[in-house]
Amino acid sequence: MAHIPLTRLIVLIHQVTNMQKAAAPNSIQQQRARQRRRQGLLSLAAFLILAGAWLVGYLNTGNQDALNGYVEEVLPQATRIESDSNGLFTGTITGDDGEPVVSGYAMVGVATGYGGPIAMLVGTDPAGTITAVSVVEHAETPNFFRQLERVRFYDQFTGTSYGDSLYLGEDIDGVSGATLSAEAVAQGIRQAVRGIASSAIDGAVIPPDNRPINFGAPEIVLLALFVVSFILHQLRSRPIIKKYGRWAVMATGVLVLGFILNKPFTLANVVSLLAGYWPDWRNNLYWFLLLGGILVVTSIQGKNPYCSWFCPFGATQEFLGSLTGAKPYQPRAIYSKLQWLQRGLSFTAIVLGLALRQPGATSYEPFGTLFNLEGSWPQWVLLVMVLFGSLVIYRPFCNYLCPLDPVVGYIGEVRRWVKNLWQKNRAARSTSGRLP
Amino acid sequence: MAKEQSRQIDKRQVALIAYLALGVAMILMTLVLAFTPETPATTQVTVVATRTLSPLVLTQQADYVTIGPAAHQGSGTGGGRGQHAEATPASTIESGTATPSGENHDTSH
Repeated sequence: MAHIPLTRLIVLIHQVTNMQKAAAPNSIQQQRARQRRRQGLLSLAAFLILAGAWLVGYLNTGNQDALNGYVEEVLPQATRIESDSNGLFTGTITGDDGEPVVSGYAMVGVATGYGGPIAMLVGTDPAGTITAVSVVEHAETPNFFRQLERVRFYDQFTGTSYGDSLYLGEDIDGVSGATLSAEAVAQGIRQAVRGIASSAIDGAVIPPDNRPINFGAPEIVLLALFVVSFILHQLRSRPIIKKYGRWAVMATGVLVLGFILNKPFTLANVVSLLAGYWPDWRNNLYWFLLLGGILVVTSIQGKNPYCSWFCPFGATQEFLGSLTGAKPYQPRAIYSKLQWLQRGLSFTAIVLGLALRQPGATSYEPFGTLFNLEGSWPQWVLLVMVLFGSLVIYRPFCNYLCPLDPVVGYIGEVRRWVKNLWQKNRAARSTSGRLP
Repeated sequence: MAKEQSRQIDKRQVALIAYLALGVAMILMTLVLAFTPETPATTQVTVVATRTLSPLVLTQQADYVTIGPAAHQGSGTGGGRGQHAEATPASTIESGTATPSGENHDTSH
């Protein structure tokens, strides 16, 4: 073995170290570039799948055959039913002179509910008094929509006429926990009975559709929660005020948005938005304030105000966890894989909701199960699991299973992407400005 | 000592994975139940419209002394399109023309 002088050895070590230092950023850069490419491909694939699902759902909607069988149900006395180009069905019976006599009319009215359009078929007598109503099509969350039948909501419409206002809170009672659906049903019936009157009843005086803008306690509380959480979030220098303020916001969320109003943010809201099923803003201002507030505040502040502050279900988990001192548990080895599982579940539900045009069915969160005691048996099992799990792990549902976390995270990603793009453009502009 | 600690970590991870697997199973089951065709989205939930006995049977059962003209026929505000102006007495419905509801319907959409 040849003797290497000490100085030569030091120089060699120095050179190797420098080479490693030079090589390290390259490999990191390569890794990042590879990761970006992979993310880009995944985003593109996800976008294409979503677009495909949207298209499939779009092509499968508006099936006229859906009415088959329903018209006879709402015009039970008619021996012959004819339809015209206005969508009016006229039921007739044969009179004593052999001539047909009108026994009633029917028409479909459509309004957007919680999960999408609700098509209501309304049957009237020849004078325009409602004799029967039938739900032809809906995309609401099944457990919530069944409430309308359970409280005999539809019965309120029999005997009413096109001249009545048919507004919730006026001559029609709403249904707690299914307000959006009830509102849409009433709107669909109103549209249908007034359509019958204008098409079939001579001299019918139809009242103007003066829907009042629904701005009350729910909307005020929601706006207040957004504003207070936004302000508190900025209070970095006053951690005590921020801490107690956050607990107050969370308690308000549980009590008001959860138990009193039962109007949490769910995946169905997101799918309805993507499917283009936007409810009437005058009756559903809360829906627009909730979605708009989350989008706007997350885009401006970079922090999602809803999930960590006033989501009633998240707050319930945190309150339970505080009883036992539950800590976050995110094992490094598997956490990223579990996050992909969460994203996969959310994505699957969104794709199904869009392709089958049933946004209401995508809500697998047990929010309604807790706050309205409505849910399928798996949701009850999930609820019990989450409530017990909250005593051990900090917010287990939010961290591992909630479908909204990836959705809101995606908004944050878009924000970062836009911000980076804007900064790059600005830098490029300032560089080109300096050039001669 | 280190082995014991890693075993404990493994147990916690296994417990978490099992917990989440059960959660995922419940979520998938929820989605399956919500999207199945048996949901009310495709079934009729009419609660008001009910099929009565056929007019033929009703005519045969009717008490002809107490029956008057059908109140809704021809008594509406303004009268409907193609509707007879005069009330048609229920007792004079020809049995040959009255068919049970749901039969001989010509429903064109």
